[in-house]
Amino acid sequence: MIEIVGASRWYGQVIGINDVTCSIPTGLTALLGQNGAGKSTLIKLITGQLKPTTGAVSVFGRNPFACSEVLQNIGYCPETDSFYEEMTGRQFVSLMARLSRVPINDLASAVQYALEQVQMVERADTVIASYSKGMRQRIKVAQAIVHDPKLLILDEPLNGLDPLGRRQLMSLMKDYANKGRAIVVSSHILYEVEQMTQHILLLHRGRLLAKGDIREIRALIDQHPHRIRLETENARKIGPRILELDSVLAVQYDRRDPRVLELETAAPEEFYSQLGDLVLAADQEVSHLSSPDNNLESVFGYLVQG
Amino acid sequence: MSDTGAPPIADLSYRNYDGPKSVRGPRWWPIARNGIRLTLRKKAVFWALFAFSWLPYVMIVFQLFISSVTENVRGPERFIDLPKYPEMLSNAYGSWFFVFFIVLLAGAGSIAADNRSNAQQIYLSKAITKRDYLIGKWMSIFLVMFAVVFIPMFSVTCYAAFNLGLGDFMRQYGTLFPKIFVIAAIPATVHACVMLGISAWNKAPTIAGLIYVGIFLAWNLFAQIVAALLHDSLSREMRRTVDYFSIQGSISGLGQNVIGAMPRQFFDRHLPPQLPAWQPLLALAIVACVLGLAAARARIRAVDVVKS
Repeated sequence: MIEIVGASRWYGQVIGINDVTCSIPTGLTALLGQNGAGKSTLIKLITGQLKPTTGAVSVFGRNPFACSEVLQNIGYCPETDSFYEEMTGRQFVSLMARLSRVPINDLASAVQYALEQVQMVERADTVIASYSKGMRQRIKVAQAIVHDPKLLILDEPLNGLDPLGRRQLMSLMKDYANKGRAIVVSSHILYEVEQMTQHILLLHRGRLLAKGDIREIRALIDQHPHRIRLETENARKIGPRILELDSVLAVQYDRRDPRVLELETAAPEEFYSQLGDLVLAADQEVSHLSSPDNNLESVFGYLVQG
Repeated sequence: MSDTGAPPIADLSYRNYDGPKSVRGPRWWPIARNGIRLTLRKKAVFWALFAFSWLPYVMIVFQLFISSVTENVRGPERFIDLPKYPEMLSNAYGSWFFVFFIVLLAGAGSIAADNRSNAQQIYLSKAITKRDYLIGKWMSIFLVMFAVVFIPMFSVTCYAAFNLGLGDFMRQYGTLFPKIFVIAAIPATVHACVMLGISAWNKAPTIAGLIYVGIFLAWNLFAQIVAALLHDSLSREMRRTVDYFSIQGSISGLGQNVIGAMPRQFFDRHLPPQLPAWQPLLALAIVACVLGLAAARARIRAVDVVKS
């Protein structure tokens, strides 16, 4: 559906993306990268808002730049708020539907469907100025889906949404992908992306660092020692027992907080499966468990070094 | 315990619009329509300015009324030398004050508001081109301005035709009706182009409006000062042309040339002065329009591109 071949985009001396080659099929694809990685630039190339400095981008087999026929089949939800505050949500979605060439006779029903999908029917007739961040996000998504595009591009769509809103939007995206449409979702939060899809494109400093199944990247991460942070009643009591486990390579106590210890493991899955029994045997309550390595920065660190 | 019945089943599966995606009509129309709607939404200010812009035409009605009364009292020999209808119309056409405020109301925020709210990004991701966007924005100012100038002028001309006798009026001034279309389009075109160019380069509608006010007034003043300074060294026609060599001057001068009469008021007993030359004024209006549109076109883009 989307083919990108050797695409680079420079803003003067600043690089947006650098020699990116990939294809994006139907289904849900996540564009993962830290802030400034080039996600938004790639999205703007796909939505025809920018021309690549070198290379080529094709959507539905055509160059999307200023091409109405291609843009008619794309739904785009930008990261930033992009609307008139004095319009109501319904007016805004209607205007966007008109611009997307939805016939006037079908306009009201198409807008109503879109608003239903994002759970905004009740607040649709109040002005956007009164909307919360989450409501604005929903209206932006509604305008992107109102004309039933074949390709839906959502730039950080979960920003500002409450947990329920996130779940509803993820469910909407999955339903949409299951209908054979393509969805590209950008995010800088690994955890969020894992809940949505397995297929990712990983961008770092304008370069495509990895693409494919997120589980493979996870496996790659797991080849490196993995740090896990535990908060218990008494870290020194449970520490020796943890160190006895074959999967654990090292244990380190926190000098400032006697309840906290940090361990290093080469087999996190094995450690997690053993942790329950260990906690019961030590009769220690674990109040907090986290992995400092389980974030995007670590993924990039591993991929760049490894 | 009362039985409230089962709650309605919410169908949350995705049901999207799957009809055709082509509508007749130009692609710029939704943008123009939205712009007009936003202007008309500023109800109190817009309608007040529109009402005030009728004042010069109310004066024409008054003059026509006086004319008919004195005719009845004293016969065809009137006690004052009333201006001819085209002179009255030319006078009213040159009254720019309230019309100019409507330009600011309709145009200052046209693109500036989109810049402020990043709306260009979302507009240009739809099935419209940059040209559609520009035409839509231009039309949203042009159509409002055209209506604001045309409606009172046409209404008063119709009144004048009936007041002065339809047959006589059509014989003498019949060509005024098509001319009204042209002269209403002149301020609408010039203001729409220049205002759009200024609006495109700003993020705050108020700043865009103030810049246009500054350019508009300063230019008018400058032209008049130059004409006064060169008073002795220029011919009468040239002096008049220099005096008109500004945005408002070109609009008024071209309009007066189309009407074929200079402004003359009720008690003004002097003969109307000579019309300014239309060629330099037309050239000035075209240059202003081209510059305005080029400035707007250069600034319209979905993304801010960092320059090296």
